[in-house]
Amino acid sequence: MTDTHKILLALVLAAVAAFGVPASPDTKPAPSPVVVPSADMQAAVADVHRIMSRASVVDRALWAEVWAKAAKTVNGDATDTEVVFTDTRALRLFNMVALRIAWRRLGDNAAGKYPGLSEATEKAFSGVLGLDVRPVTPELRQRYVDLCNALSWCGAGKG
Amino acid sequence: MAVLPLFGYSPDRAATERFVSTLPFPTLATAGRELVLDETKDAFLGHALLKVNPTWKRGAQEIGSCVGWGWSLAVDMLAACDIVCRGESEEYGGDTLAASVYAFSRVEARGGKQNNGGDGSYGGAAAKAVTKYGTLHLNQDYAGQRFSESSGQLEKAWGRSGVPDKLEPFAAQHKVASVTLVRNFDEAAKAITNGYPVAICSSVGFKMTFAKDSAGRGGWLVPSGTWPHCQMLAGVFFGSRPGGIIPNSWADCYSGPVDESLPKPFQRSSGKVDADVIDRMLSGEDSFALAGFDGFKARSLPDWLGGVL
Repeated sequence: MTDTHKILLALVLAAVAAFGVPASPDTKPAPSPVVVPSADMQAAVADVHRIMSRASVVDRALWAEVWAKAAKTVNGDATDTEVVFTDTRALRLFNMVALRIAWRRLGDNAAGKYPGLSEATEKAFSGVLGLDVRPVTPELRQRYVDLCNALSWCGAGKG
Repeated sequence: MAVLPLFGYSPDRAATERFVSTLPFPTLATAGRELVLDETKDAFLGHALLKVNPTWKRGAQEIGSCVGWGWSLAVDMLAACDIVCRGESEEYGGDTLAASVYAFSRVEARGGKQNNGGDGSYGGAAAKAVTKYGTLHLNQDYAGQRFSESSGQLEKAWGRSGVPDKLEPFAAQHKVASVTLVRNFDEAAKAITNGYPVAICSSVGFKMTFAKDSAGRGGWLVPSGTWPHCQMLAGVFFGSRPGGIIPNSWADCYSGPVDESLPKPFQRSSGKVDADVIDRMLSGEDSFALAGFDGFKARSLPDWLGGVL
């Protein structure tokens, strides 16, 4: 199985966990718990927070779920026996596929719907993780997870 | 600047035939069955090269090392197309050091330890060189050694002794995955339009002054005399007068009216050649299409989201 396949599989599982399985009448998927970011992370995502505060309730909820599930998916590498995300290129590919499926296709959100959101999110990623191609160390993975949780927090209407 | 028309193609048909017989797909007819020739679209691989190396300018060979120069530019265009056209996650690692291809083709690829014969090489040897031994590149750090140009002095020395052993492992990291014989314009056009350059070894010569076509566009090469020479095919065009674009390795060597539709660095270093002339150039069966460069790993991400938001 290639890294791409692993990432796609991880994404599908995450998407199913978030949206996919038909719920029985008496059960609903519980929303992801909101993790309050550190002050550093709140500063890193400040622009995203400002933009998402003006987004629709539906989009905010979707945004929060997407990033919470991304954090959970990548954090799985910390305990899984087979690592999925080996370098920053794999994380970037995961970001792209996750957003394309969840935010754009399932959420019907066209690119540029929220002016500045793309730039603000890019700025948060490059500020926290840089742009170097490098291996995913436990420290880097934790930074990625913390950033994803901070992005999720931006959509959860907190702060 | 006076143009020094140096050649250096020394055909060895039997050796090329032996090499071609070892290829899993000896000709483009067998290797490129899935490739489609779209004659509605002209193609010029130089655009990809300039995208990854905007300051590119054609240099001039100083000895009879045209095989190194022609093949190196073909490798560079392949690397550029891998990145720009095929979206491979690589970065451009600098122009290929012509001396490395030339030397590998004269010494290592022929199974020798040295080659004290006169200057020159042939296509089959260069094909073996880039696929079996790989390529070195300008401005890379090779354990403290860097090359800023491929000088005639270096090519002369390495052309006799081969590439120094300590540099061979570096070269081996950047091989061309496959080569296949190209025997006529149609096969060449099929390769080029799919982003695979063609290194040409031929004896067809040309005048050094461009001609114009009936529409008044310059840049046409007029066949004249004999050039035992290696160049490469970087582009093809169709329509009423089909042909190809062939960069030389003599810097900005051509005079006369240029084709202004070509990017500036190619206008006087490259010429347009009619399809039937290219047929003749390829009929010597020592010209190859290149595919699959083992490139340089990207050191930085372009972004984190790929523009999805």
